Amino acid sequence: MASYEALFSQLTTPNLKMDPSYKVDEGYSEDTRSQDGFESPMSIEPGSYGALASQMGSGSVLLSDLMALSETERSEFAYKILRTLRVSSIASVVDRLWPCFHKDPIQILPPEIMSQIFSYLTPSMLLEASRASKTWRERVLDSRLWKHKFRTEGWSLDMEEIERYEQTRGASGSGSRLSLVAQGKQRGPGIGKGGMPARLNSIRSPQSARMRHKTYWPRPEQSRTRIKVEEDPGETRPNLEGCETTLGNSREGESEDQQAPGDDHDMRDAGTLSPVSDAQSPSESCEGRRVSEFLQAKEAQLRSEKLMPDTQQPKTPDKQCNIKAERALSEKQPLLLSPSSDRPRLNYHHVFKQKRKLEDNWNNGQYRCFQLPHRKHPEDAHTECVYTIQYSGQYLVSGSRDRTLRIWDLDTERLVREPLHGHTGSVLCLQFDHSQEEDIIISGSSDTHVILWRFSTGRMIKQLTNAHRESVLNLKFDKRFLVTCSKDKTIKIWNRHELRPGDRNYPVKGVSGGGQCPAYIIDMHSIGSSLRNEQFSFSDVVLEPYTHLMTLDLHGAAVNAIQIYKDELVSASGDRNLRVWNIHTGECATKIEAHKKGIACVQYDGKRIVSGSSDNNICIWDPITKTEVARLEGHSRLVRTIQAAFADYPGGRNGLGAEADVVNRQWKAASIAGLIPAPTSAGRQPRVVPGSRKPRDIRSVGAKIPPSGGGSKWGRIVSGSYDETIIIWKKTADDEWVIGHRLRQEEALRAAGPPLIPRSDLQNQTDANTRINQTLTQHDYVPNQVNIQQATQAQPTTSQPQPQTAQVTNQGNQNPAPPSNQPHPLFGNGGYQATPIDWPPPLAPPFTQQRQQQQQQQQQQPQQNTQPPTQPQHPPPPPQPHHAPPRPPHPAAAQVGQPNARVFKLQFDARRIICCSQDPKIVGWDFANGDEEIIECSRFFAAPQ
Amino acid sequence: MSEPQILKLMSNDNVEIPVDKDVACRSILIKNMMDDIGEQALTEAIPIPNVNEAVLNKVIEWCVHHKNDPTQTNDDDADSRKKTTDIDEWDQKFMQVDQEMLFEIILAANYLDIKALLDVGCKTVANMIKGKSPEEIRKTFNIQNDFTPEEEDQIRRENEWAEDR
Repeated sequence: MASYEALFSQLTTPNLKMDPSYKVDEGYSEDTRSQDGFESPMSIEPGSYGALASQMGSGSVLLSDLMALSETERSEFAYKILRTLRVSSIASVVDRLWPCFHKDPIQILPPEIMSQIFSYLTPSMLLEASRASKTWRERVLDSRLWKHKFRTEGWSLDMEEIERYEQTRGASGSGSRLSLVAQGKQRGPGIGKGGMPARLNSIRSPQSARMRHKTYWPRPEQSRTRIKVEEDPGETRPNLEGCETTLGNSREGESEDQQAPGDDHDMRDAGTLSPVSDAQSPSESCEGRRVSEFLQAKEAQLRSEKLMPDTQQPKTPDKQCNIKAERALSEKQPLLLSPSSDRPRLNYHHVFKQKRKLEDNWNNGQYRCFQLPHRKHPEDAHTECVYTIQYSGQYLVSGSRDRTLRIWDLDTERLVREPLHGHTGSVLCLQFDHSQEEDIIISGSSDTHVILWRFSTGRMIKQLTNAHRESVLNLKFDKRFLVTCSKDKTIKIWNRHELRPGDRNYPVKGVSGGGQCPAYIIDMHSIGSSLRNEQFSFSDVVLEPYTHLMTLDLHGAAVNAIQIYKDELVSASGDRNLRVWNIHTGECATKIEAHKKGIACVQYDGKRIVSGSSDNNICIWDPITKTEVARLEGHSRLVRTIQAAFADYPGGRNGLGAEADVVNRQWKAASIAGLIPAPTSAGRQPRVVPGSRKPRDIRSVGAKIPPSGGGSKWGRIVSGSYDETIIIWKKTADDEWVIGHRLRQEEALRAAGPPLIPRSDLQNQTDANTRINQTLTQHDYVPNQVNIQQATQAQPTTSQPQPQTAQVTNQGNQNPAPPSNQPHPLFGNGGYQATPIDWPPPLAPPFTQQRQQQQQQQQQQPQQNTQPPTQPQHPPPPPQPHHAPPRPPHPAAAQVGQPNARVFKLQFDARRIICCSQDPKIVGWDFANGDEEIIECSRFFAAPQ
Repeated sequence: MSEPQILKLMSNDNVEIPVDKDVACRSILIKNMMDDIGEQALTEAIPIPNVNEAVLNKVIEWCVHHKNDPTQTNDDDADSRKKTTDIDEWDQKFMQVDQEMLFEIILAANYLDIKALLDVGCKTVANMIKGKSPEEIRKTFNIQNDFTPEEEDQIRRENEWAEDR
């Protein structure tokens, strides 16, 4: 009792300070608790303590008396009591108090808030957190969270495809959650095979993918490539699936079954709540508008707990067996569906994982090659080099120097139908859309014609005869327009549907600096308003589909490539310029003097222009400031074909601008600090790492996009060149562009089997054409101004009063194939036209000599077919730093028997690169690398824009 | 300009707290309420049934400090872009409270619909998870490890794909 009295005499001493240092919580600090009126160090009223002390002194102190004291007083009291203890006792009290300072947020915060918290963490951090406990794992693996993560990586999903998939699964389900889960598991990877709409057949089902694997050939020299000895998966698979069904409570399935969070459900939905401890029931703090939801959710959650087996019970004796089987299955288990939902929903955690694995394969260069034609059906192949390809879904369409187009099924690697005959020259460009609404292929040729084909039948629907005066080098169409460009230096715009004056897509004529419209296009400005108000009949001036609307003729050399983006049209020309046009008026809004030599290819996605040139470089341009933000140097010859996917974060241009602003500010700061070397003339700075944000590396200060062009770290550019290589460019963590991998077309071709046509023929053709082309281009070249005049005068359609409606041909497939061995007089170096100054850039003199010697050797020894397939492979290309000086691309080219492998056109999607070249074979690299889970999911990955 | 209008908020432990109208209107819930029922709301204390005095004071402290911040208009952009857990210095200090208080601030911000405060709160919790091993996370949040060693092993293997590069 004496000690108590001492204590209370202390208590009554004024000016006591609280020492809250026992609050060991890491998040705690005293100094922010100092706002007025809130837990400020109190002045103790001696009165109450005095009263208490006297009570205690009399031996009659009650707990209720203590509890009647204020919080402040009680805490002071407790502190004083604690201070009487030995340090070890204090420590044990503190230990017991640990839970007060360390609370599980999942028990306190509603799921949508936890989801927001998780959204700030990277996938690897999330998965670390998922190891904390079962509840955490369930919450972290929430499908909706991973859908969000997927988007914020800069990846895109094919939502249409996902919807179709989920609907198909929904139609086959009973609506009960459990049965759906069960079905999902039993049906496993065979899903999507039956009962799908016709369009779905374009989805590569795992079945066909499996068949396809047998046709893959491994790349022997690619040591890192996983070369799987292919057992017949058809045999092993059903067993695995059987296991799966019986071992349905394997770890992963278990956690998802238990009470996994909903997918696209509202996060506050039933089943998404974890057990709530009564002490911190969120229903207390979240009453009001959320209370009913919480109660409902809690109820539902309790229900579901009863419904579900207790997953925490000790495992059955065959647990070891299960675990073994789980391990075997862990990579096989089909997890496409999110089991918690009452409708079939894609499990985005699984989809995210597969996408990430696929991206890792890209970055690690792990792939399997494939080819068209199928190895066993060389008769399907084109008979000469292939200038152009496009693929979409299951189909690929190719156009060749053999004057045909061929439609391929990528699943079977066979022709879908007989080759499409109709062109009388090389097929240089094409685009197709196999959707039901469009069902069309449009092709352009060195015969100056453009042909429209019905995709589903292969029949010719229409021919735009003499669409240009010379080779049609490229064409693009959207729902509104067809745009063609030609070696005749012009671009022409055609309507795809009937147009009347006043229609939104009717050409705007008479704009100063606009395009050249034929006479039959009505200048709406020149028609008086009176005319417009009266019921002027336009019916006699209706433009039939595929009427020539406008000619854009400002380029001074062949227009090699075009791209439509909304109302903008971008063109790349041998005159070294890029131009951006308004597709309605034909005004040229932007002209960029882009390269030192002719430009062969271009891509525009609304944010940046990417161009590939005969100066061997790839450049990324900011179209707003017309400045070059990055230059990718890696090819040693003409960059003939390019595709870029910047994997933009969702959010559009604003984000890019903000990033660029940061870079510009840093540059300014560095500039003021004198850290920037004086700019060299004309802004051409010394070679820098493309994409680098270091102030001294900035190429164009003030650009509206960051130095790399922007986008996420998953951005990718793939370029194909006359140096016979394909470069996959990737980004470093610092947003710099580096060569990820260099694929050698010639190796792929060689591995794809023996050449299909005698090499001597190919060499002769190429050689002859080179000469022809050279003379043509020289003859062709005229100074810019003259050219414009000529083009205007010579425009055959401008003076015609009648619309140049295309000549309709109903000949279908009846056009006989022209003899394929004769070089076509207009054959133009694979559709690419360089200016004479550039020519002959693709063949540097020493190399030409090399080639000629090679040819001679080959003409003497044309038997390269006899070459053993075990010919020593080239070692993998050494990692080539971006600044490496250009080197002869092909040390091996001098060897006898190398295929000619100039790359003409490539395309890539989420999973594959497919490429055509001087060889009749089309080759591809599949980065799913035989992984069935990736293959199963790739249908949901949107192709890069 | 007339004197700032004062609102009274009533915490769930029945304490009336006077607040500038502008400050209170950082809360979209209160702002909408004001818009709906008008000036008469000024006369009576507005009950905030989910928030106790201590937390409400804390929330008001934050609102006072941030009263001149531009209102977030289009969150979609910021939301969908690459997320950062950066928190400005004042907010960081503000959030140095015990976990119970932190979670209650988050809940209050959610209830009162103060998005910026909710974001700061969530980022603070995210930063407590960030970079920690599972064991450290368990310790931080007093979580019981209910995995068997075999399960832990398997999950670790399953998670290998996500290692940062």
